[in-house]
Amino acid sequence: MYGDAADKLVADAKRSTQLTHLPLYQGELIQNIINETNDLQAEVEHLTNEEIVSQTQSQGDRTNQCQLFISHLAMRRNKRCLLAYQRYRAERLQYMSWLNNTTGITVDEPGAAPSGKAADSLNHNEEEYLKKYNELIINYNKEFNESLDLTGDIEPPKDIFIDVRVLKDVGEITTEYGVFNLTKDSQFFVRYNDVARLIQQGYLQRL
Amino acid sequence: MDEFNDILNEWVENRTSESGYNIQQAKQDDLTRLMQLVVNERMAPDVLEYEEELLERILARTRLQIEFIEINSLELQLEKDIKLQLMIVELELERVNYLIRTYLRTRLSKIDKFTVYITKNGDMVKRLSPSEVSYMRKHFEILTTLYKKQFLSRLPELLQLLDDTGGGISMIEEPDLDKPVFVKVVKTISHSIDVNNEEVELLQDGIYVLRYSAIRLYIMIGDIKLI
Repeated sequence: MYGDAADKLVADAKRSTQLTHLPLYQGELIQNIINETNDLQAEVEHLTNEEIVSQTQSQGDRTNQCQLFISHLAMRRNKRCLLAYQRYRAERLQYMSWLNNTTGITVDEPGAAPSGKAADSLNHNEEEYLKKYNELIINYNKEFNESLDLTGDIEPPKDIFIDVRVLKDVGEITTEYGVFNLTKDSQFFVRYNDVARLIQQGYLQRL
Repeated sequence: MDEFNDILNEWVENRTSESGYNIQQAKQDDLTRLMQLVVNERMAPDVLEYEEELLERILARTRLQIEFIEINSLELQLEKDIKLQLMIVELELERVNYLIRTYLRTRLSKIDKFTVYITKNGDMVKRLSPSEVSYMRKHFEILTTLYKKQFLSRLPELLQLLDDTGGGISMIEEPDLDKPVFVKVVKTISHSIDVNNEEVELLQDGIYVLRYSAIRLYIMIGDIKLI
């Protein structure tokens, strides 16, 4: 039935709000919706064909008008569903960019290892968008001081030094306060700024 | 030459001038103002005016603080006392950075949300900083490219618009200016304001819930603040 495919698409977007990673791009489903919309358009063109219009009007038959109306509504609904789906995904990509984290694992679940790359579930236009949006943020940030990282934590800072636990091997990092060897399950007392990115990316957990 | 100017400025800034106007107080006022801006921006439904001068002043000061930290952390071993001072400066710097970050990102998120509305509305564009305008344009461009490539270009021509207002539903997302907001009155408003044909008097330090559109102007002047 008309609209079923679009319904599935919206349901997919809704489901992905609950997931920590972005699911696979629904290329096939989207193609189906586009085809359906174009079929509807063909039907509208057929219905607005002068011959048919004059024929039905003379008979006082309003079925055609009704069908035309429904087709228009269905087409618009399909478009809205497509836009809603893509917008939701674009927003997820923006969110990932602001987290400095394009691997697709959000910090909501620090236990999750950043293994499955989000890039796998994006289609190439989305990848392009993600890349460009990253550049855009970097360019905007350039207008300000170096120490002002706009992608930084949006929680108010409390301490300069914090305790962290390593969730995944990072290797050696060098800071003003010496060299740390961050191996899994070890704990450190470090300057927050030195490890902020690693926390965002899910390598470290703040204690 | 710049370095000398900094030193001079610092000296000038640290002493109370003859007119009795305290520069230290002015710095504190700027910071308080920034905090208020963050709260206003977060609570207001639309984008407020960008306070460029204030941000410039504060950014310039954070630059001085960074220099202070860099210079002094090199001589860490010589003077033990400075360590605590450094920590305080650094934490303060982090806090100010946090405020600026929240301010700018709150604005960007609203700009992203209302892009089409802002673009179609000259007055709104004027409220943005030049870099915010270029961010908005560029972002809209890459986002529409994405939509077009993904499906829009393959839909019937009639449906390819992104700012369609026909068909019963407008595609342009607009801020809800009638949203109720909590406000605190900084300065008594001399005449009562009109809310839905009802006269409301706003007295100093009073806390009210009002429609945003009714008190918008007073927020810009600073007689009312959002809380």
